Amino acid sequence: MAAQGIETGHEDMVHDAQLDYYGKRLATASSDTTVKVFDMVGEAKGQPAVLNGHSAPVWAVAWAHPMFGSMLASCSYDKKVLVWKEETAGSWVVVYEFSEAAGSVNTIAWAPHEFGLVLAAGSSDGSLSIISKTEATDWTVTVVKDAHRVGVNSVSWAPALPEGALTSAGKADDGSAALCQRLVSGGCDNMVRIWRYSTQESRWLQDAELAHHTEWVRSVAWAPNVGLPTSTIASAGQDGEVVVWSRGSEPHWSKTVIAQLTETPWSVSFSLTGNILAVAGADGAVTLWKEDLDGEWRQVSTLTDEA
Amino acid sequence: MAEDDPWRQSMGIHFEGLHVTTIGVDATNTVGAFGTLNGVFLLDLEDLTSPTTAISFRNQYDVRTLHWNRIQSSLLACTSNDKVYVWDVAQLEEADGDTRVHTELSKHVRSVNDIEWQAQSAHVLASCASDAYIYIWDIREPSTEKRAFTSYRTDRAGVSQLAWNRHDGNILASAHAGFVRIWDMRNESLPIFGIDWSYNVSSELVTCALDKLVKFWDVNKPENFIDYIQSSSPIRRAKYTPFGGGLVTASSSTHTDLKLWSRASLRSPSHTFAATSVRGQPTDFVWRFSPYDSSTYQLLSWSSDSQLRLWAISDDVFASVGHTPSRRPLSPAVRLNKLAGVGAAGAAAAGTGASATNAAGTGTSSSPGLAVPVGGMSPSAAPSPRDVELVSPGSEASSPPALGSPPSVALRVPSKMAGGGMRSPAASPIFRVDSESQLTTLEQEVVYLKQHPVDGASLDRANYGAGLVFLTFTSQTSSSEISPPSAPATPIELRGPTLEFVQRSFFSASSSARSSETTPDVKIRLKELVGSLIQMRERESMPCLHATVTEIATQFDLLSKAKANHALHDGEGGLEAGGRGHTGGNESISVVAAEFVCPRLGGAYFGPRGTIVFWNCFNPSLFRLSNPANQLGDDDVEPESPTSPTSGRARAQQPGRDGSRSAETCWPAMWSDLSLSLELEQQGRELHVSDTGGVLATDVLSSILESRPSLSAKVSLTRATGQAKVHHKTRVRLASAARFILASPTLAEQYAVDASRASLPALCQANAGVAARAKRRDLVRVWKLAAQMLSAYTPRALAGALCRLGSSASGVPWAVHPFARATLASLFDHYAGLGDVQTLAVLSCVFAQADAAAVAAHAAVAAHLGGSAARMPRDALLFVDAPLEARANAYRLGYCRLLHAWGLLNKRAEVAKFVTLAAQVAPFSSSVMLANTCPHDPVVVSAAPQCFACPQSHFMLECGVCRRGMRGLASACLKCGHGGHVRCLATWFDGSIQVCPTGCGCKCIPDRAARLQPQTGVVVMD
Repeated sequence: MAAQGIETGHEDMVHDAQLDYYGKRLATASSDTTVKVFDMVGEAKGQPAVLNGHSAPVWAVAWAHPMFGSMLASCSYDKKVLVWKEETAGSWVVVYEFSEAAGSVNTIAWAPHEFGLVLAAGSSDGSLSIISKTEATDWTVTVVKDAHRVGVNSVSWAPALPEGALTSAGKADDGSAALCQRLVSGGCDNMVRIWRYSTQESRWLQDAELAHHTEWVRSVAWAPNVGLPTSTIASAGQDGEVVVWSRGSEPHWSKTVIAQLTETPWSVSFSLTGNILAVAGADGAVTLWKEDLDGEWRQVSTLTDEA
Repeated sequence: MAEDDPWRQSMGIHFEGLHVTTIGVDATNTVGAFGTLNGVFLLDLEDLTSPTTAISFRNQYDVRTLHWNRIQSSLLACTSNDKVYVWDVAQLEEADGDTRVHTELSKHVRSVNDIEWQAQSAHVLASCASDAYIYIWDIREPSTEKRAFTSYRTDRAGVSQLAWNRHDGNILASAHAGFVRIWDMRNESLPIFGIDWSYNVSSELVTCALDKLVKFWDVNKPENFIDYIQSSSPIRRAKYTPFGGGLVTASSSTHTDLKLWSRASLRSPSHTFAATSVRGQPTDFVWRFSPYDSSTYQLLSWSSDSQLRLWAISDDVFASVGHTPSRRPLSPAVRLNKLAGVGAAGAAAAGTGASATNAAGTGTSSSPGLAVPVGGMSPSAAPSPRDVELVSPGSEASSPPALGSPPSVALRVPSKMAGGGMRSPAASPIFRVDSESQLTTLEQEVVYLKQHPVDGASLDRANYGAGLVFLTFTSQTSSSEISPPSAPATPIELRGPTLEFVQRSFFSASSSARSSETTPDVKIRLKELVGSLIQMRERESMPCLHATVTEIATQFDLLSKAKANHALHDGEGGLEAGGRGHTGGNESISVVAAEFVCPRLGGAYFGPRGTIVFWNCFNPSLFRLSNPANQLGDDDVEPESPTSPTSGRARAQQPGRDGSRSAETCWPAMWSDLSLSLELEQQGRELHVSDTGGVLATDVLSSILESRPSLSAKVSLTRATGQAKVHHKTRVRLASAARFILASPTLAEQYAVDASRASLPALCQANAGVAARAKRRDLVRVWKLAAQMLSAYTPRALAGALCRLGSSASGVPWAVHPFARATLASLFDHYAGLGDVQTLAVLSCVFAQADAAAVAAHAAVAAHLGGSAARMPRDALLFVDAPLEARANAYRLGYCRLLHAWGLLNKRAEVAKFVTLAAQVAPFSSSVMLANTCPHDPVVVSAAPQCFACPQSHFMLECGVCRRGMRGLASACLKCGHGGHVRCLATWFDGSIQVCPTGCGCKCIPDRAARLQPQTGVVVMD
């Protein structure tokens, strides 16, 4: 498979690379403390905007939904989360700085746009911070302390509509589909945890605790909902195991170990349709897994760096 | 008079020497036809004394089957050997008994076994024969060659029976040697298992066979029959009752009675039509209802002793199959009959247990008994006594549950298991529990704990009476340097859900001098953790002990590690390599897992349209160090002078493939040419700690600083220079995985969704073309099938079909087809399994439009024709029923998201039109909305055009010129926001006035000179 390469020009290791909602821009985060934004189409290709703001390696970037404009968030070893907005073409300014974490912020993820501008950040201090923009200028932060003892490595939001929300079970009293803020996190306590915002109690509660991994959970991903009645979560552990957790109408999550990699998996990521899983390994190979009709995940392809 | 009314009285007529093979009643329910050895004779059933009309034909074969046309009541078809004859009885009468054959259908080469007229047609007839052919005839066709317009040939033996579906004239069921096929005239290769169609449920049919079973089938679930009747003899005929939910069966062999079964309870017949005067078994039976009162039914049967019997149907019989006839007031004559019926039914009820006593009285009243199971057997098992006798001992043993003979089984098993098997439960009181959830008592929990020991915890003793368990926890990972050499004991009391430290715990006992200030915190922390765990387990009513012990052991480990860590900076030099990796120099820093950051150095993430962005900066050569002392010399990224007395490095280790990683190490992924250095100064002596890997988290630093206030610290991040620079791969790659993703933007762009421009079949054909271009052969087939299913869904065809419904079978909307919804549902299931939301959403949109078209056509036809269109209920015309609709909505919504991310906004809008309102997502947070303040009460803000807060219901907007309420065409200045009626504004700005009419001072109209087009209108915005 032909792979197109982009030389990021970062002076140090690249820790994250994310395409925006339409796939027209690429943001990269690097140890050289910068974030770069590349245009994937048009003339400006290859001349990235450089976002200087962090004072330590930047671990992750995340694009907000385009309904909020050109916005991205970055998190860093300097314990900060910065939210950037493109004021004029190519010129990015920091519109919000979150610096309440007590440790390196390792992971960030924007919530589904239905919830507004809401960002989840996981830190090495073990906490999860939910940062949401309420009024024109205000940002409020809700902290889940000790989400993962020793540190949070990865966080991913559930689709806004819970599984089966459009069928009878999940409907609100007025017949409209009830939204539910949920996210999944993986951390250094070897656990995958699912969190749910309780509107009654106005706080985040742990919904489920998925124990399987015997090492740190490296990456988690909640599959997008395209109308199928099941929820799917993928998690990858330091021990090389890639697990798919799924839940339909039943209350419990069932797990399938789909792969045992020899190398550490860096990340798991679902396609937009939710049925292809990309697993990146430390050996540089990206394996693609697809769910069969019989519900089994099979490897369909491998992408390698050397291509 | 009472005796003359055949509807109220059962009677028998004897025809001497007549051998009748088959009987039938015409569509008017007044004429009976009887097939005999050499012809057919007709009998006026309303006037049994009238002379019979005989139709004879010149061959030596008997009439095997006859069938009256249901539409044109004078048409009678019968078979004789390999010929099918059709007479028009009306013409016969005119010709005064002329035996001229109206039509002779001869194409079969073996004897014809069955014929049946299509229920909806006056001229379509199906016949089947032993030559394995089924022919569908159109008797209007003058050419004998073309008369059979459709034929089916089976690869098996001859066809014995056939039956048309009562609801859809395209469906035909045929019976072969041992199986049933269902034919769809529109699809010649669709044989499915399943022979009399139900009056009530369009998808249900019943078959009966030599295997003594009557089976009920749901053709939507052909895998297995849904219900059955077990009989003691082969069933010759099974026909549904036209009323209620019942079934009449006729057995072959020695039984002379007809049995009526209620569909609701098939274990025993609800009624038996039996008479002592009948000696032969029934050959055939048929229903008719009174032409004067459609709620009155009569069962006609012919038995092999040349007797025609007409069975009256009493109210009890109706009731037994769940039917309540609406009756006219009973005449006195009828009441007599009714009393007789009650007597018979009472006897039937009394006879459920025992004998076949014949209800005395008239020879025509039904007698109960013959088929009733005797007492002693449970009704549900329902083998009749004869069955039990027939079962051999061998088969009894092989299937004991069916025959209900547990004693033999129960006796046999112990005899085999004699000895140890019996003794074992008593001999070993220790039970083995594998699942924790089975535990109920503390004793069991303790046993479970013994059987599943937890590392680091040992059970001392337990006092079951007091509910106390004493445990000792030992730390495994704390090094001997820090922990006392002897393992510290922590007796902990677990009383139900509470946790108490009985004695001084390890945390205080072993803390000796150094970190005693942390002990209460640790204790509280441990209690908190264990407390929440216990609460959680209690909620799920799970046992606590094992989980608690595990948790404490884990916590204990971690806490003792943390303690070791805290202890570090109190030692001489203060810095010790974590765990057993002690370097001996007291110079390196211990870092436990808690303080590592662990960045990822590679990854792969999906973008929209199947793009994957991936990169990997991991360079294994940089992560080979395991012993810092050995690495210092040859590590080219070491920025510090190795001679510095306090320089040290955190340990870095590649994750071992051999799995040999020690417990206390984790993987510090490093940005290796960046160094984080910590300079500690104490009394002029410089402690310089460098952490090249950047693995030293600030937590550790700060805790060091806190404990050593005399130190001043400088934390700095410095980049390595010169040759220490390591070149990383910073290339990010993009690849496409689109070929693995079924939903494709290309298809999305080309698919037609909205059928307002093209007809539905044409749209499906177009989409098939799109799929063909995209090389999706499965989708080509799906769309071609959809086009076929929707071929009758043009407005004209639909209206025509609905008008003709009942009279013609051609062009019936496909949704009426018994397999239509099943087909669609299986398509949906298939693509849902594949996760192809695109196909699902587009298909659902197309079929939603078909439903909308059918409903519109139905409404139009109903409006024009009144009740006649109601023969086909509206809901029967819908492809997509409510559950499917809910699913379809979810698919459409999901597809909309995809289309949005693909940037195909117009296509998204097309699909979004089919998302029903109930599926719209309730807004989580309010977004921007337009609202006005009431000019008279600025507090009132509303989006409504009028203010409903003030009593005058003012218009929310007021014209700036005429000061009247605003409605109609309005305009406003973009700068000041004032405006008014377009006409007023035009007048206001007509002359040289350029300022706002409200006097706010805004120059709403710029200078004319400045305007590009001076001739444009006066209104500021348009």
